[in-house]
Amino acid sequence: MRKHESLRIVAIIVVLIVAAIFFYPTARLWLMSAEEKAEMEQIDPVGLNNLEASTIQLGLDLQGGMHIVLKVDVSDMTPAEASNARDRALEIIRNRVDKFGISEPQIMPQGDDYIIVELPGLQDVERAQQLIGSTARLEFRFLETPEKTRQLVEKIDKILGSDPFSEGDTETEADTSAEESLDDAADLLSEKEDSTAEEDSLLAEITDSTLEDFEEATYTEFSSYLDQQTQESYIATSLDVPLLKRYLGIDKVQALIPHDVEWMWGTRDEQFQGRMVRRLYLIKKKVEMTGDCLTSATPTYDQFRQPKVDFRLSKDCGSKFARVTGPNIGKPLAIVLDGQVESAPRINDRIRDNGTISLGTGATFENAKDLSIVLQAGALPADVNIVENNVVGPSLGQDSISKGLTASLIGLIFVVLIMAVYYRLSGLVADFALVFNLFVLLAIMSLLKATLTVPGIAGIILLVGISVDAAVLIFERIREELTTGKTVRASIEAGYSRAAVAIIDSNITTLIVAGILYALGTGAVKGFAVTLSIGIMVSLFSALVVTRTIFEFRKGYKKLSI
Amino acid sequence: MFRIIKGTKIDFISQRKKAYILSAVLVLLGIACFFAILFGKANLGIDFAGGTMVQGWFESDVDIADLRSVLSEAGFDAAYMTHLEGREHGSTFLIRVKVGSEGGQTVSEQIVGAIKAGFPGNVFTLDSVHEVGPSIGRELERTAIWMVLLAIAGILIYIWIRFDLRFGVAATIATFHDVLAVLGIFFIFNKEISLLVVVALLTLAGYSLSDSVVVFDRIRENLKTFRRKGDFISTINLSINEVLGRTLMTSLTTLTVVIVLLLAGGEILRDFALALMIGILVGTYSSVFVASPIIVEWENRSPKRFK
Repeated sequence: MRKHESLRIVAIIVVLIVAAIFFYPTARLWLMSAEEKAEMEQIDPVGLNNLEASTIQLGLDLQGGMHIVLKVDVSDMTPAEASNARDRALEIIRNRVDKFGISEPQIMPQGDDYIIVELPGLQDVERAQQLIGSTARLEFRFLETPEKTRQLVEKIDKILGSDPFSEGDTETEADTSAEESLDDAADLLSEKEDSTAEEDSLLAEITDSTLEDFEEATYTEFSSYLDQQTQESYIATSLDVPLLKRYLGIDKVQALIPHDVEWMWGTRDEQFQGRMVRRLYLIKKKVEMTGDCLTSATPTYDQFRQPKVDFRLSKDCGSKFARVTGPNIGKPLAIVLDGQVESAPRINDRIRDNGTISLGTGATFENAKDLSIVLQAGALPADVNIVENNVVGPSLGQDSISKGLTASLIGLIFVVLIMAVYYRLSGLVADFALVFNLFVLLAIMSLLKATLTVPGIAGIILLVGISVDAAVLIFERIREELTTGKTVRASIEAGYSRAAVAIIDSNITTLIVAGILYALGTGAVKGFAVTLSIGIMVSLFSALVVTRTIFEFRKGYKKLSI
Repeated sequence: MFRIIKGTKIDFISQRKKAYILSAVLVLLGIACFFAILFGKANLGIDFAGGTMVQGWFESDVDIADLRSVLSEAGFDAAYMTHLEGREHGSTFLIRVKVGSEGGQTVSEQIVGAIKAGFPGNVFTLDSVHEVGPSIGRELERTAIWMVLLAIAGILIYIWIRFDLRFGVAATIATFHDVLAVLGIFFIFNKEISLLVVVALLTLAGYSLSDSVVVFDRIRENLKTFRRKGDFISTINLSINEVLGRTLMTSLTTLTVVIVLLLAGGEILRDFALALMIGILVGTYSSVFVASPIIVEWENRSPKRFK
């Protein structure tokens, strides 16, 4: 018996010391203020890195960041091609993310065709999405001639005019010059814009009715939405782009478009005469050159301080490109990225081994930088779609931490009080075990570098319930034994040995559930399972060893405070 | 000794018929919810059904009706919006639509774009985005079903080994009962069943099982001691009464932490805590009125078992 006791005491002390050693870095990091952290970053960056690496990791839902699941579209590939495509996509996305400059990105495959990207602490969500999700298939293609383009627009006007559902008197309207109707459209559209901002119902009413007229009258006039700003391209007010896309999608309009060309929109909105516009191009389907030919791409500014990307071509491609561009000097060449036109500059000279992609007036230098990143990393071997996207802002994460901490502390205080009031001194023993459990749980999580998530915090809070349950089982049993008239010593012994069975049984069943959650769950669910399983094991130890040892010392008492 | 429960002699088993009615109602609701899930009529969270959830903050106050009209103009008629408290000024909203992106411009981008265009003077800061495509949602649904099935199988086998089949079946039924009851209650109040709620249900399965196991443990012990005295039903009643103190004390403490979590744990954990809270109440009830009566019914039909 004596021997048992000293063994237990040694075990507890060892656990406490080891736990303290492992928990120390986490405690130190968590207790550091932001200023101290910044200071340490300056003086001892390696030390801070090591410190951060040996602590409990915060999940994306707590520290803020982005979690994206991408599905590689391998629908028309053989299994071998598919897995190859997935691996290459993974590599390319890793390259892009590395160049994007985020600390500790996680990029991993899941299943056969999923890729998970985790970017902790990321702020600029839209940018990251575009960078990761874009296929980055770069193509150089010629534009259809202005005459043919205009003819096609006229044809579209005509076929929409013969729409049986539209008003009959549209023929005359179609005759009005494009410029006039454009002005009308622009006026009406600016009214429409105002009305969305205005709350004045009268104005809204007037605009509504004009809008109705406008839509009826112009359903047949595709061209009235367009302005031929340059010879090569049309521009449309950005607000109208969805409507125009719908028009272009109508079957009979589609049937008009020759097989060797297609309509394509510009990549981004531009400022034009005080309104936001988007360009529309008619582009030949023949691809003159692809992005594979690029050996380097550098973002820079042109002489008008507009962002652009300078690129270099490989030798083979260069001579081929020279043959293509040589006879076509003066013609516009569209630079198409993922089905959208970055720009369509005129060929000034024979292009041999380098060139420039200008991004238009709507672009920022960041756009140019991102474009050069994706061009250098190369195109993805297949289309990649974002199927799951989780973004947590840093403030929300901070909010979750403070709420979780508050809830844990309040819950803990309540339980500690309940136990102390109901079980007196024995309740305090249970409270000690409770604090011991939480401490050891955090230490083990630091040791495993486990990730703490919001559900994980819930798991910690549940641990409070679990460890108290064990104590309650034991104490109730001891009380029962005491009421049958047994001595303190006999009651404690009987209480522990009988309650132990129930405690082990109930904890193992919960452990089974936690194990299944761990095996099948992902992300936050896994975090919960980890916290819960460690918690259960720690709680078992403290119920059967820690409190037991304390009770061993109380065996000699005449009366037990319980 | 300060005890709330002191030497009670309540005849729980004689009340079992009344309990059966209540349990039948709860379980039927749960089964209804289960079928609703099968036929795609249940209020599944976007984790399973696919969809988009955007939380963001306007620097100046925004009326929810204005936000609704801006979003419906952008084509999100079925958007579900909640105004969240907690910031000193401005308005924080949680917007949920049952459309998930699958390629192209993501739905969250469209929503944020519409909001920025609709409230030009107001600074809008994105707190969080959660976006799930329909295909991955279905996959998760399958995973969740597997988790539930495996958990039940694992529990049944463990109890079977530790006790015997009879106890194993009774404990599993009680566990099923609790999970279905919570599901049913979520169903009638049209609460969303999210991934976290499923996790809560599984945690609850573990908890409810512990409760049954503790009672069974005592029944087994008492059956050994009282094999020759007293009849079966009074042994069961005695066992339930003996562990009643523990049952209530554990429920009280666990409920305390869960209620604190419900009130102070923030939006993300609210439904999780709610499911656990209902589950603890139901679980406490079922360990007394469902698990043990099943043993009694079984014994009534094929006695000799414990003689």
